[in-house]
Amino acid sequence: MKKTKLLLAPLLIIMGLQAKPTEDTKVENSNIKSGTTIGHYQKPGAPIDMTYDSTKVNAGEVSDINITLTTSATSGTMQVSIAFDEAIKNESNTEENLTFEITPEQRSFPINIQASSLEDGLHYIRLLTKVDKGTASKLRAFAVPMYVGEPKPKAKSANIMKAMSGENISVSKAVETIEVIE
Amino acid sequence: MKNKWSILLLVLLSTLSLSAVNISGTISYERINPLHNGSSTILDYNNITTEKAKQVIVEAINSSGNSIATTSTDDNGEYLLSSLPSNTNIKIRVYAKMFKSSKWDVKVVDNTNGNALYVVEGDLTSTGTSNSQRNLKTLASTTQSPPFAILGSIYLAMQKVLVADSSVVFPTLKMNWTVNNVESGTYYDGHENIMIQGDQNGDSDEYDDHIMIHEWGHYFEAKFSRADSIGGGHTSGDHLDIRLAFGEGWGNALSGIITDDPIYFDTMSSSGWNMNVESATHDTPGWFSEASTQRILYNLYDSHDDTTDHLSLGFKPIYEVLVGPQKTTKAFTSLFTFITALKEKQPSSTQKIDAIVGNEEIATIDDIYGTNRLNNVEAITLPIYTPLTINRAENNICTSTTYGVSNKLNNHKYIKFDINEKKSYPIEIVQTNGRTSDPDFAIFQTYPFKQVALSESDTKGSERKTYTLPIGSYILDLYDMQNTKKACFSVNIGDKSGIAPDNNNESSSDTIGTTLPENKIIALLLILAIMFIPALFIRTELKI
Repeated sequence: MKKTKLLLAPLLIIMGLQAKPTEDTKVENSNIKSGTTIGHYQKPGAPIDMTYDSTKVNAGEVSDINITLTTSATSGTMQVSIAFDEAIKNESNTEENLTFEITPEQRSFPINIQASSLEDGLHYIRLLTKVDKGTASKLRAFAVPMYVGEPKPKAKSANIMKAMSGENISVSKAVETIEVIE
Repeated sequence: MKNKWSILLLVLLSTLSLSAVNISGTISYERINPLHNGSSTILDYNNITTEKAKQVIVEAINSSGNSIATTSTDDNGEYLLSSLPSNTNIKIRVYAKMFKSSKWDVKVVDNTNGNALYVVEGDLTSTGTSNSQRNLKTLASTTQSPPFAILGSIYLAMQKVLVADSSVVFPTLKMNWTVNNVESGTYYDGHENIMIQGDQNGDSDEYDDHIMIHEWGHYFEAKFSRADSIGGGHTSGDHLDIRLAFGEGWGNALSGIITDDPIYFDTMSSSGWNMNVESATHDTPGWFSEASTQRILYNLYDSHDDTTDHLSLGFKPIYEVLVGPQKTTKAFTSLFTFITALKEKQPSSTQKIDAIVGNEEIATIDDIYGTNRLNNVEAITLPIYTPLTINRAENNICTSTTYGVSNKLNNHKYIKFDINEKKSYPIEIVQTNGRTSDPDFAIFQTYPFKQVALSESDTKGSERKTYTLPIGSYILDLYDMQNTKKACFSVNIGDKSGIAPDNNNESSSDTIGTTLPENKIIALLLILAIMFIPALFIRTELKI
């Protein structure tokens, strides 16, 4: 028994050393969630990256959310439309439609939002960004998570079952027409 | 009595002849089509078409939940399940999966719910005594149609490749889509997964077929050609690292090539945008531009002539370059390697290829390294590959953030060198204009092409490491992790003659092997040693 434990110890140490975060979002401390799109694969779109941190709060408390939008463009304008999940109340004076002038010196734009919710769970603040440069316009959408209270237990889908192969399947009814062929 | 026997005989005959029945039918899904208005594109809920679900798996499931027959739909979405038992309750089940042995294996799963494969089915109904037809359709108003729409886009792409090369076998591909993919983004992970954004209140991509094909293009490049792209954010007006510019331009062009529709679009809730991969306004064209790359590739392919495009190669010549010389090229994959190989394979079309390339303000491409470029870029840009002689320092190799950081032009500088004798080589990179940078480097063996070393210390102003390098040609990729506005370096491989003096002299030694896959064995042995040496001590103690 002792031997097993001793054998396991170095293995666990090694496994621990090799462990990597698996999600984009990481917890820096228990109350702040942060994330970034910088360095991540992105589909074509407006040349904008987003970095955020968001304080986790209890229902009814105000969360402080700091968002920074950074563009590789050196000219033009960046328009930002902010939309809140229905369960979120915007508690800040930040306008929901913003326009920034992009210059070689000014490519990074901080946005601070205070928001609250009476509902526990994961909610989202969505940013639709648009860079206009000459005649061309490109868009990119971002979603900033806002964590309120205890996460809602994930409802187990009644539609998940096992196929004969053992694979999980998510089943739903299609529209079906049946006709007998004479 | 005679009558009674006759009836029994009739019933028996009837049972025998109808003991097996066939069920056939069509599987279809609704697709929401785009509506373009200038540079804006939205999904048009007034333009929903019914499409055939091609090559998807169909099963007959009995009342016990067991599959009693299986098949796939054809290219018309039609299936036939034959010799099913009569008067037996079965339901038709359709999987969001295309599988054909030694050909393809693609499925759409919910990555937030046990990687469950999406399935739709009909009702449990008796097969009766006659053949019957059961048609199943998914509606766009539900989450049932997206998995089949995604498969439709992928099948279209696979068909284009199969026309060029019928022997192709597509490696397994998993499409990860769910309405819960709010933050995931849409991207290819470099292996066998494509993540697809599905936020129904924001950005969802399931009906954006050009995006599906763009990402599939990255999968194709990685699996059949070679993808040296370093990834990261990008857009058409950027001065990009040449590897990224080619990868993204290829993805964009392919979306137009596969659909024969040059309007690439991305819808987002009630918004969206589009670009014409053939004729968009030239915004900072050049060999560093993904937009130039996409226009060149699309114009090489298409049958539509315009001012400078008088070539209609079709897909096959492009495919043959990608799976041939582009895969084995000794330089990083870029527009230079692609065009050089295409011109070699299509010597009669050289002038027309040059004309298409020239329309992007790109001087004639004559080699894989992009020599003889025009001076329409930041001065430190050229040459794109700096040749280096062993034991002789190159003193003015500069990175910069003029065009942005991370993956933009001049964030990485390429140095090519030859090793004529296998031995240990110290590699020294020293900043010559201060100590503001954090230079790091990777070394790529060029045949077969692969990364063989990576040195990423946190040392400011310099990077030193010694590697044992076998005979061959190499490329060193130098970059500044500190994103200094402009950092110039002295680079030396071998003896220290000519290297700039440096007080911050941190150095380490290594063999190429530590980063080579085969030396994972050494790492494994080391791990085993760490595990078992303490155990030996314990054993000794117990014996005592």
